[in-house]
Amino acid sequence: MKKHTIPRWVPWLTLMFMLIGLFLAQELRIQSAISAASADPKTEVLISLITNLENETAVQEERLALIRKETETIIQQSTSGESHLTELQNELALQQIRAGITALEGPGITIKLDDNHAGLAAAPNDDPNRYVIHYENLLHIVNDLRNAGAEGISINGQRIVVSSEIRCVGNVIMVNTTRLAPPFEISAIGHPENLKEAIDSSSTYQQLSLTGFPSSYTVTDINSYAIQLPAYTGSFSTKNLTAVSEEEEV
Amino acid sequence: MFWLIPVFGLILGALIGSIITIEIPLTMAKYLSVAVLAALDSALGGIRCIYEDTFNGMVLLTGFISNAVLAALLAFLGDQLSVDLYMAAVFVFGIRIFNNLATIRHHILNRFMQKHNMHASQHKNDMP
Repeated sequence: MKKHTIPRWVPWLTLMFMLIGLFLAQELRIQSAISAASADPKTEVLISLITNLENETAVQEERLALIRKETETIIQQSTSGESHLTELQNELALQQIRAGITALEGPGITIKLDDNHAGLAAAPNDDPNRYVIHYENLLHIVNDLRNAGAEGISINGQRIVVSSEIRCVGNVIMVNTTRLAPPFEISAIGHPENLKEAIDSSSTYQQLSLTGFPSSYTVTDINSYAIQLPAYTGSFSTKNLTAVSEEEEV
Repeated sequence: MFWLIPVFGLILGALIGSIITIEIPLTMAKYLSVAVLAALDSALGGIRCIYEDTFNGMVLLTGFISNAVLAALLAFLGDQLSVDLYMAAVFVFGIRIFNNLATIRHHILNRFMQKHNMHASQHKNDMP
């Protein structure tokens, strides 16, 4: 230790202590900053953080509820759409049945009519037109059956639909532009009792049976499916048709 | 009164430290505290060496740097292993600081006692 000049440890120690002072000051600053941060502001930050998260959770829950509702609505719509589709399909099936483009079966009546061959043979000089079945006979019987609530009618395998004609071309009867030849078999689905009554009270049928035409009918049981009606195989002309819109209808 | 120069150094350092804001991330605070301890340990060790007449500036500086670096490494490793390894540095530095302080105290006391004894003996000698 030399006291007359500055000892060599002085700069070193000064440097050391400067470093210590520097570090301490910095450390104190940092610690005060940390403690300040860990005091109220930090708590406030945490509280605000929690509040924010809670709010966010609430928002998310709300969104979830909304999405669930939406999903439910979509499911309902789809199911209702499905049911609507089934409804439409059912409606279509019904309309097809009504239009007569499907084969049907059910209870009803079958009427058999034939030309009066015996009568014609017995009276060869008489007008032969009196001994044959005319288209009017069939038309009237069909009308009588329809009047009795027949839901489907066919003559010799020709389904009577809305556009069906029963007409006479020369000496043949045409139904659905198809030539028919006797014996005629008229089948009708409907309430058997009603149809029977209609035929019993049908002037045409009565007249035919009374004038010696071979005529008979068989009525099925109400639960029977014995009457089989073929589908209408022709076409429906709609060339000149325009459906009236609902607004125009009103 | 050369003692005052390092004390002024301490004050100057503290002033510089409080005026100049060195942006240190909060995660580095731990390392800085260890560095403070290393510096304190080195400074006290240096003072002790002055009394023991074995002072070497380079030894002091390199000791400080190596201690600080090692302590920082320990702290870092502790962070990585999630073990408070820097506590080992704090513990060691603490012990060394107290040891150094005790040694310094002993030296100062010895000097004081020696001086006192010398005075006493001088007084004795002066006495008729």
